[in-house]
Amino acid sequence: MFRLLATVTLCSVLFGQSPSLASLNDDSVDKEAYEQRLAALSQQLSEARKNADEKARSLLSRTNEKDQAKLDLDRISSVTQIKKTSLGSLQNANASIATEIAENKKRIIAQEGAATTLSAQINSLVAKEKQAGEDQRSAADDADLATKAVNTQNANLADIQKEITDNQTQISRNDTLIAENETQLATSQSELTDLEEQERQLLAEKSDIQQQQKDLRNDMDDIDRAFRSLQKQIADNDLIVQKASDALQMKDESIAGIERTLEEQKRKLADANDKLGKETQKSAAIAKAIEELRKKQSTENTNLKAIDIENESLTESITQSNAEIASIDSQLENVKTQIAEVQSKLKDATDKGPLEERLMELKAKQTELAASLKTQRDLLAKDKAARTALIGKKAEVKLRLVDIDNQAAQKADEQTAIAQVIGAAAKEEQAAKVALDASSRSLDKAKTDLVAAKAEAERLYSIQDKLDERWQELDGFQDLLAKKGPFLSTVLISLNASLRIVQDEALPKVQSAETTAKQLLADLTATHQQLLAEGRKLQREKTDNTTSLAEYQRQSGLRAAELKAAERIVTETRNSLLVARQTLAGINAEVASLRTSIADRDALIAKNQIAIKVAIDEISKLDGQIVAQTKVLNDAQLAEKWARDIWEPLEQAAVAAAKATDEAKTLLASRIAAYQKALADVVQKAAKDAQGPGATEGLSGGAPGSIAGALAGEISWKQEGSSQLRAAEFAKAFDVARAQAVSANVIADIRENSAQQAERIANVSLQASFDAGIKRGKADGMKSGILLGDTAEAEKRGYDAGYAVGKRRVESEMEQALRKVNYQQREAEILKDDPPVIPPTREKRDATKEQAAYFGVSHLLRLFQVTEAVAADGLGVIPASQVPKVTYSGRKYLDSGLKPFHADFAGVYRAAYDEAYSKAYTASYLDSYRTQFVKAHGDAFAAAKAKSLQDGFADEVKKGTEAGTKDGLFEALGYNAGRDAGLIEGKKKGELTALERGKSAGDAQGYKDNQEPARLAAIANGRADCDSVYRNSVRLVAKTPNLSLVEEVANKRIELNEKLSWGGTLRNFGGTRAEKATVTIQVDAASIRGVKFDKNTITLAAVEANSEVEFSNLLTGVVTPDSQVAFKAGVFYDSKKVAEFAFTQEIYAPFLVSFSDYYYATKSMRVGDVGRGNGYLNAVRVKSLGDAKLLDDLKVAISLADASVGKTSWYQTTGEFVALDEKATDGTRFKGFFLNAAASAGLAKNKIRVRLQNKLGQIVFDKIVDAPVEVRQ
Amino acid sequence: MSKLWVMLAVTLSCIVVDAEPPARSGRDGGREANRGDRRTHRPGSHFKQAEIESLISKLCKEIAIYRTSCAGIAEFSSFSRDLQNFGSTLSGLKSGLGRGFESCGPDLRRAIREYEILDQTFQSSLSTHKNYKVRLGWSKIKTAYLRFNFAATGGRSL
Repeated sequence: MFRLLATVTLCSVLFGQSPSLASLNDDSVDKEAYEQRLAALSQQLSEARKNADEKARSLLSRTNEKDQAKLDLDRISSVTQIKKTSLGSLQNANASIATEIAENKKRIIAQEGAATTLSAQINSLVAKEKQAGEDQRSAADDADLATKAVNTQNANLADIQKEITDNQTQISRNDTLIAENETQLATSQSELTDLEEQERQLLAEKSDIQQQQKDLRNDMDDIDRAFRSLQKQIADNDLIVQKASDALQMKDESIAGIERTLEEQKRKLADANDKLGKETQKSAAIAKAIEELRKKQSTENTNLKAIDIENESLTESITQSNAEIASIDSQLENVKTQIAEVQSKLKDATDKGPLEERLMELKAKQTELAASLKTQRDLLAKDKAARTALIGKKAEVKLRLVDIDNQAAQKADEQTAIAQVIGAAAKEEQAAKVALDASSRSLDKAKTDLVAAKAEAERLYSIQDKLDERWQELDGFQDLLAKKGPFLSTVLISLNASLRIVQDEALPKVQSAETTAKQLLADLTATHQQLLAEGRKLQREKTDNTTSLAEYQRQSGLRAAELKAAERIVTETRNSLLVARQTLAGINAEVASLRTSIADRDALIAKNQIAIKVAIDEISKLDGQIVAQTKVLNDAQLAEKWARDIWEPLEQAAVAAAKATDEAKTLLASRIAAYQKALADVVQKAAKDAQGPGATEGLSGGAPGSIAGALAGEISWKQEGSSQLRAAEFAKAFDVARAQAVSANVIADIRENSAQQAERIANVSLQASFDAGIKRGKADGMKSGILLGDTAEAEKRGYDAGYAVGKRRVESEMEQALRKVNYQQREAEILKDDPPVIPPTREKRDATKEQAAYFGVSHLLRLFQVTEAVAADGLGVIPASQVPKVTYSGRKYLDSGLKPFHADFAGVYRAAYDEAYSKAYTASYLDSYRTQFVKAHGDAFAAAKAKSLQDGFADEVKKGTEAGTKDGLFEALGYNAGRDAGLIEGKKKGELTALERGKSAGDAQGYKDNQEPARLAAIANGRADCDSVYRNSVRLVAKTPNLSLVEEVANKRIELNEKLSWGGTLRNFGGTRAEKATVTIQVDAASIRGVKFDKNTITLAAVEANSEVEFSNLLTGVVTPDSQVAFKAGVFYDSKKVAEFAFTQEIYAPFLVSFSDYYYATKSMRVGDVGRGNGYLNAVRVKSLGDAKLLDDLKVAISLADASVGKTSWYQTTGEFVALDEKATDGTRFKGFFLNAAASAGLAKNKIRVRLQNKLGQIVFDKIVDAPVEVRQ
Repeated sequence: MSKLWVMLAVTLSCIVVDAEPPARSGRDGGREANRGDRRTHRPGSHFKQAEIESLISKLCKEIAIYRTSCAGIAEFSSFSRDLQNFGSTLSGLKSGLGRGFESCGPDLRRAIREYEILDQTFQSSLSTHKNYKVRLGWSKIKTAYLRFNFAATGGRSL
């Protein structure tokens, strides 16, 4: 009840509020108030709902049961319905399939009609292809025939050329043989002439010699007569000369006597002069002595006076000293007195100080006076002694004065006597002078006579000399004539030998060679003419064949063009046939597919009929189940009705509340919806308002779309649509034009100019054509050039050049042997690049420029790609980003007076308006652009296609013709250029071949001709080099290979302990002096035997340039005990050995050693048998060739030189020395030994080594001595 | 007394002078020597220098002709070199003649020795050569050499 009340209340509230809510629904939209009221109603509703839900759960279970029953019923009904639907579906499918089958049959009929048409076309095309194939084969056969004809012609030409080459080779060989034979003939003729000339000369010489032999006897007789006459003249002249000589000798002796007398007189005069001089000197000496005595006397007198003066001085000094002494004595007495007084006072005095001082003073004075007294007394004594000495001295002086007086008197006497002697000597001198004058006059006269006699003798001597010279002359002539006979005979023999060689051998041989050469030359000349005729014939054939070849080549070109055209037609026909067959195959496939489809569908209908029957049965069963389930459902519905009756009032209340809430919600929603709607309306209105203007502005995209479409359409046609046809037209025109241009320009023989060259370089295609033309032309030109270049003139040039090369080669070879060093030096310079052979070219290039260029290309490429991308878009769809920015040119806001009104609406309107405007603009722009683009594209494509079809691609034909003409032109230019180059190159090659051929021959000949001169020149150069080296260096050699031994004794023996000296001669052939100490002699210590050198190394002084020095005592030494003296010594210059001496000589041992039978000294050694061990007694005998004492204490050791002979009984193996203690009657010492022979071989030539040792243990003999052995029984 | 001494001295002097052989001038001594050697013969004295030079030239010419004519013969090459050396020796001798014949003794002896060696060489290896030029050339050289030798030595061995 309460629940009902509450429900009613709630409803009343709800209903009571409804008008107020409704009252808000006017032109304004206030959704916020409605939202508040809805919240209150929702709270009331939740309470009512709680009550209703409790009963609702019970109702729900009843409802579930009913629903389950209903569900089952529905399920069964559904299954039934499904089955029925399936049945209908199957029936519909069958009907549909039947319809489809009927349509497919119609289509098959249509396709078969089309296939029949296509088959007819294919048959037509096959026939066409067959025809084209036949045409092609025919053209190919023609082309093959033409090519074969060209090849055959080329082969013929090659054969002819080969024959020409062979012919030329044969001619060359023949020429060479002719030249060789001519040379041979010329040589033979020259040789023959030369030999004849030689024969003539030899005969003339022989005749001359024979004449000389005849004249020789007469000459000798003449000489004998002349000799006898001269001998008589000489004898007469000798007598005259003897007389003159005797007279001359007498005069010589007379003069000699006079000269001796004169000399005696001169000597006497000189003696007188000497005596006079001596006496005069004596007189002068005496006078001088007297004078000196006077001086001495004067000096002594002076000394005496000085002594007197000094004596007086001393006397006075003594007097004064005595007075002084007396004075000092008195003073001394006074002082003594005073001292005595002071001393006495001092004894009594109390104050002794002053007295003692006084006493001291007095004593000092006393001492001083005593000293003075002593001094005076000493002086006095000294003066007295001096005066005594002076007295003695004075006496001596007086004595000397007396002596001087005596001497002066004596000298005066002597002076008088000498004056007398001088007078006598003067007289003698005068007499001698007179005699001398007389002798001089006699001598002068005798000399004059002698000169006259000598002149006469000279005259006679000259006559004698002339006679002597005449004698010598005659003697020489006689001698000469004596030897001239053998000389003439020898010369005659030599001349006869030469004549025999010339006449018997050389002349027949050369004449035979000449005849052979002439015959051979005639044969070769005939062959040469024949070869020339053949050569001319071959040249004519070659010309004819070359002309034919050109025609064949032209025909071949035409056939090739025809073949190309036929091939093109075949290709096109085959392409069409292929397309038609493909289409027919497609139709056939479609028909087959349709038939298959019909069969499939028939099968499907049959299958569906079975399914329909099954479905009808099932539907019948399901209808029965539906009846049963309907009863169950009715029961469940009744139970539910009871539950519902309880729940419904409560539910109604809750529902009412909920309804009220829902109504409120609905109201609110309506309010919000109204707001939203109004807002949407605003937006919609704004969009609507903006749509028109925006779209209008967007229509501006149509124009660019149209332009772009038209452009793209044209481009599309150009790029895609027409490309194949264009290419075909172009290619066709190109080929035709190209072939014509090639042919015409080749025939016109035009050359490329600079503009064409630039164009070609800039165009890869033209360059390729040009290159192809060059290749073809070069090959053709080459063939012709080779034939033109291979000329005799070129071969001649080659020969000349080769000759020079051969000459240089042989010179170089010869020079290289001596001047290889220079070659290597130059090669080293080249390899060091200093100086370079060719200075390298240096290039500087800026790499950044190359990068910029590359960038430019890539940039263009990128632009091209962009353009290509735009052009490829044929749909006119451009991205939104490419749409120009909106300008809002048509913007008009209609936001004033909006109803209903809300504050947000104006802003929303404007924003929506702008957005809608922009969208409308963009869409309109894109659409108009696309629309116009597509339209324009299609129109432009169609128009271009129509125009192209109408025009027939004349531009392509034109372009193809132009391109073909140009291509052909450049191929022709290339061909012509290549042919020129090939011609030049071929000419060069041909020329080179001829040159090489000639060069090879010339080189061989040049080498051969110049071999000997070059060799001689190289030898001369080498010699000059050698001279130069010698001139500028020291070239020291030993003049003789061995040292010369200089012995102390001349017995030529080297003996023990003998001193030896060696000398040698050194020769400096060089032009430079070997300086001091640079040349040494060094003895090889290892080679020394039997000698001990004083020095093993000797350093020499300088050896002058170009000198020969003979050295003695180069080496010195003493012989030591040994069998021989042997050594080697080297001559060293600057430490380099320049020569070597070797010396070997046996040391003389004066012993004669022999072997004999022991008992028979005169018989040789013997053995009794061989190989049986029986020894026979033999002996070694030693005889002294000098002193017999040499054998004393001598010991001997022997050993068989060949041990296989046998063995001796003692010291055979040990080699010990045994005493030679057995003496023979002739003084020989010997020693016996047994000899056992081991074999017979070698016994007769047996040798034994013998060594002798003296008592000092020195080996004095060491030799191998013959010791033949006989086998005697 | 003094006169006696003087006479004695003069007498002694005379004795001494007589005891010694008379002094002879160099010319006299040489003359005597020449007279005692009348048969000595100076080589080349009977031939003028120009004559000997001419004979040397002829010999050299024969050598050159011989070497040229036999240049291609292999066995001759070594002999040809020796001949060339001989020719050089002869040339040296010829130029030395300008300084006087007496100074040319060593060169002359050398030339003779070289010829003798050449002759031995020829006899041992080339005297039977099949090419007549080899034998003819040497025969002619031999003739020329004999003439030169006789002129230079007078037929004497030096």
